[in-house]
Amino acid sequence: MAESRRRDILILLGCVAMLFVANFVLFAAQTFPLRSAGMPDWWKTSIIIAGVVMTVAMFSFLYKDNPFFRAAENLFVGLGLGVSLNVEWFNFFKPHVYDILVAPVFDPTVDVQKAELVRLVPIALGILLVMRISRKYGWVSRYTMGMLVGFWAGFAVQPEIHSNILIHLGATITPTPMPWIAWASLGAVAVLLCVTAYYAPKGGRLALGLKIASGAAALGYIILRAVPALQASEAWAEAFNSLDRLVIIVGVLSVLFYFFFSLEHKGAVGAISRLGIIFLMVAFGASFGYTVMARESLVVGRFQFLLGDWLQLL
Amino acid sequence: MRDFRWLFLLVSAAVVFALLAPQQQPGTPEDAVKQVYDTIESLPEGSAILLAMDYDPQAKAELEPTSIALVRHALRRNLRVIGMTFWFTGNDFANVLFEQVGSEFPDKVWGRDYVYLGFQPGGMAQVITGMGENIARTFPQDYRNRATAGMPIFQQVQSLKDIAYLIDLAAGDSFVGWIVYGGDKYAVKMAVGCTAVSGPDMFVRLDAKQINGLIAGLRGAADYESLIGIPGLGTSGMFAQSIIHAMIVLSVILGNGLYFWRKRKKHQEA
Repeated sequence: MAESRRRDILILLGCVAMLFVANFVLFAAQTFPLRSAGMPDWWKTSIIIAGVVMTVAMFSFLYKDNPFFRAAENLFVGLGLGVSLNVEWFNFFKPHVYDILVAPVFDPTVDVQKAELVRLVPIALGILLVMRISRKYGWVSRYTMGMLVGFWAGFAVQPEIHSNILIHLGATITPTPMPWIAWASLGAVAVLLCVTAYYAPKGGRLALGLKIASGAAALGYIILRAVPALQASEAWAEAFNSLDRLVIIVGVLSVLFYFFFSLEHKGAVGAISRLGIIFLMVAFGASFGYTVMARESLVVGRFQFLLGDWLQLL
Repeated sequence: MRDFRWLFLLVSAAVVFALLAPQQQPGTPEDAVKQVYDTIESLPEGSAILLAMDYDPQAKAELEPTSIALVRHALRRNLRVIGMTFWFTGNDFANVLFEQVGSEFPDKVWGRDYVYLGFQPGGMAQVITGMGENIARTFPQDYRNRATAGMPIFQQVQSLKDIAYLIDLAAGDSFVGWIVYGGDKYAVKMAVGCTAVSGPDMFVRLDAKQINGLIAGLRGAADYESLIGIPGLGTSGMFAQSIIHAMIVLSVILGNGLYFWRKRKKHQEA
């Protein structure tokens, strides 16, 4: 235990010493302070050094939880709250309420414009909303809530339904002209997938064979799609688009089956809903892959900051 | 190597190496990215594009390279660029980006060829609807507190209907608001640049033709940089990311190999 603690303290002192030495070298090499229009920019320099310290403090969690990480984490939360308050005050409350209605009260040279008194209405509605904290008078907040819901229902329902439902419905069921051979192939693959979904949970050689056949069909399609020569061909591109469209239709219907609980998921319904699970898993897998990429980008971004903005090596 | 912290150290070393010695990776840019490039190439000179810089420092690594490449490309094509944001925490560095890229083109003037309008509070739907009526009235001042009413850039660009191409650089779900209240409502041609996390959600919009192009994550940024022929942070970042991918795949193979080897050894011993 004492050995581990001594190692932690040594690592901590090593990090602090490295930060100190690196900054000392940067000042000695006249990289720091940074310059704006030929003049030393101490503000920008301090911001970068603070950013480096915070980054190292955050990364220190990868070694183990420690007070520096906790301090940086709490500072981040506190700063976030401070920025939010700043935004609310300087963008909403000060220009729209304080400067127009309150400040003139203390400055006799400025008159409150009568037309501006209309602002008292939304202010009153806002105060009614805050009354929710009172048990006795909380009911008055319903007036404001009712107005908000009414406004949004009128303002947003039509465009939201149009853009988020109708357009996508249309895109899903777009007609797909395809030769009969493509239809037949697709039908065969759909039957294969459904049969696989039905027999897969039962196990045995038949299930294994069906799984391999389905996997080979899916893999074959993915490989075909990746062949540059086929991508360049107009006929193949059209066929791929049509197939994609049908895959989407099959995917949407089978996933809807999976979420349809009025019928027991047995027999044909069970097979189709299990196909829906496969589509869901593929979608979750794609999302997870993209999420991993995004998290890697964050690491890359921090190192770009450390090597570029701080050490000026990029 | 039971202590997985060695893996963190290994990944860090790999990223440092990749950033210090970046390589342009071979490969064809994605079709969705090329669509954005082709659309900007096809616009007549003097057309206006609107860049909504809806991200903050958390998504800077992914979206800043895309933003830089887009502004560079548009100014190089003599298009007029208007920037704005709904994310207050990204307001300052979006302005710095416009100033830095703008300074690369000495003949381009702030307020005539490009302008960054800054942050506008008041709710996304309301602000976009206001821009659909009149952009200069919705943003009475730009980021530098100059009145927008008399700016040359707004003499011909009055509302969203005059925008030739709208690109939302989104770290969150701001693209939904832009599509619903901007692109679809005012029939503005639209594209989205987003973080990799949002990428899968965007393909639905692409498929429904609500957007005509998509630049997702660092891969999208690297593709766009390769299309305009100016490698930047996206290209070096993608190289680093590819090295991490290779390490993850190797670790998975190695981990599984070790697992089965140990299992077999245990079985033989028993």
